Amino acid sequence: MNGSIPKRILIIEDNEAFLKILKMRLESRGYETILARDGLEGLNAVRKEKPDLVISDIMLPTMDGHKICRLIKLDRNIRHIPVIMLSSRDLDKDAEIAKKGGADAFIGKTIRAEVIMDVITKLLYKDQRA
Amino acid sequence: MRILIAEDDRITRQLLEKALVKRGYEVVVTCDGNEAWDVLQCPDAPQLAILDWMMPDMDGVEVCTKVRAEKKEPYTYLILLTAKGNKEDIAVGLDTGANDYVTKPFNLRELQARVKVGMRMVDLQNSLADHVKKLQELDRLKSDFISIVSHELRTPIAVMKGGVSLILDGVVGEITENQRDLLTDTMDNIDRLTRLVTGLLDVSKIEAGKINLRRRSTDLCAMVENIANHFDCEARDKGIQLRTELPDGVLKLFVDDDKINQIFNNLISNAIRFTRSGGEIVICVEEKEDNVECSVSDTGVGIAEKNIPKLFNKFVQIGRVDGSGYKGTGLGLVIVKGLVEMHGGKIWVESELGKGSTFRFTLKKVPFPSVLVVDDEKKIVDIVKRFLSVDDYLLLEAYGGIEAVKKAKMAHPSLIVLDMLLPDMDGYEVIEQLKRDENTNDIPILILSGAKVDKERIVQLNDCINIPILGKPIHPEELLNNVQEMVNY
Repeated sequence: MNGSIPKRILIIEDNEAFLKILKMRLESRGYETILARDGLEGLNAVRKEKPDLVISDIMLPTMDGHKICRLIKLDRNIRHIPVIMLSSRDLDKDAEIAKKGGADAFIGKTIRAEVIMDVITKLLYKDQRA
Repeated sequence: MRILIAEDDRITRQLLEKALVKRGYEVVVTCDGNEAWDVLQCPDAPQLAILDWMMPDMDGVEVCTKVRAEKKEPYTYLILLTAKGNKEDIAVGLDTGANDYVTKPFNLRELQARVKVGMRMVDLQNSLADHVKKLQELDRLKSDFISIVSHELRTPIAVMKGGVSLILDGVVGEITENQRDLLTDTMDNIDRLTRLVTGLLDVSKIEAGKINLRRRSTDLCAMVENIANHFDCEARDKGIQLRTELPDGVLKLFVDDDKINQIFNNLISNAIRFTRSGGEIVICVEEKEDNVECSVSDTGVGIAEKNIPKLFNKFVQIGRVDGSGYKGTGLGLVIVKGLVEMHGGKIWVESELGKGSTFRFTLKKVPFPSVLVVDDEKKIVDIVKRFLSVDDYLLLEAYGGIEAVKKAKMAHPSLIVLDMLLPDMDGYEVIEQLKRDENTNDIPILILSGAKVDKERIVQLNDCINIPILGKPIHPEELLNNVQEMVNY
């Protein structure tokens, strides 16, 4: 962040309480957040806003997270945006589907906040190291 | 109750029909084996059939063979009618799948009695099938229930955890020491709830046999060393010495490394919990002839002998109190036992109250899977070999169809990666030959082809519906995933 333009992160999550927590956590780290509460809204926001990173829940109204991720990764204009999938479901199975769909990371929702933040930092700044 | 009769002789046919109708059965009459088989294939076919042995075209024994091979449900009870009194012949008839026989000339009373026996058997088979269906349905419901419930629990847990940690981290403002104290307790309990939900899901998956091992080549020594390092800090904080006794060098095993990690993590964290300051924990790995024996020993509180048999039961928390107030889930050892058994091993405990406990388990050594890579281009063979890394698989190669079939017969590999365009014999023929030979027909095949593959033809080749087809250029990850999936034990 180093005083430069803050990175913008899109959160796609239908659970209002979890959305709020994630937003507060990210903003406390100096990120700017964009919020979407269902799948289609989320996908449109990715296309329009071109955020620096997307965090998406899996079970969502109108379009599930796996599909959003696949559509992002198939689209030449936005496929470079890292996608983190968040799930509270049967973790092994979702992790596998997420991997096949091209997600950059898969995290269980009950994992420690620090871990999530570390993954975000890694994904946001991996290009600069390379 | 309906009965099928297949008899080419008119007089016998009428005699049978009359005798059975008299007993209140509904009778379907046919004059030869073909007709009988047609009737038996109908959805609502009779479940008991009396078949004459000698009939034109298809005889009674052939009908029996066909029924047993192609008609599993619902059950059909088959009675052969035979003029052959020879015991050998009768044995042949029963071997092909007939349930009973009646020799001609027959006694009507006897025939009726045997039909009655058959009907009882049909009733039993039907109720058995019903029960199995119900049990399967229940099992499915149970699995669905647990996975839905654990999902529904995880979402609120995630919200609580996220909220409390925001406050604890001071994101929403300063908090007092008392508030921090209470919130830390809350957090510990949320973590416990998380472990419980994860543990429950694990146990239900183990019980349902739904965990697939993802075996890969793993150096057990390096892994144990790693885990020990990970716990070193925690042990030292409690004043416990943690050390390992490992064989020199590398000990490669074909295991699911995540699961083995889980086993060690569980046993070591238990050992730390139940050992007091000044104590010692030793993690030991020893290579035996056909297995590897691992153990985690502590000098902790120990377990009373009467409690040892209960240790691996669900929700049992033997009075091993560590004083920190930390409570386990009572599921850890159940999961550990399940995971050890999935690896073909056993787990047991040696313990003495006040002196300490040793948890010992074995891991069966399984052979590394061999993969036969078939392609006429050496370049492709080399690429595939590189992707599959020599460490994890025993790699064989063949540059033509004939060589491939020969090597498959000789080495019986765990998987064949097959190119379709080969100089001497194309891939289709290779598949055909492999499937025809009972020594090779069980080897899974993965097609890797640059040209378009005729899926229809592959499906037609006996028993080949599940052959996955990958294109070229090769995607390493796709290849690796498929190979890993297919060679799974």
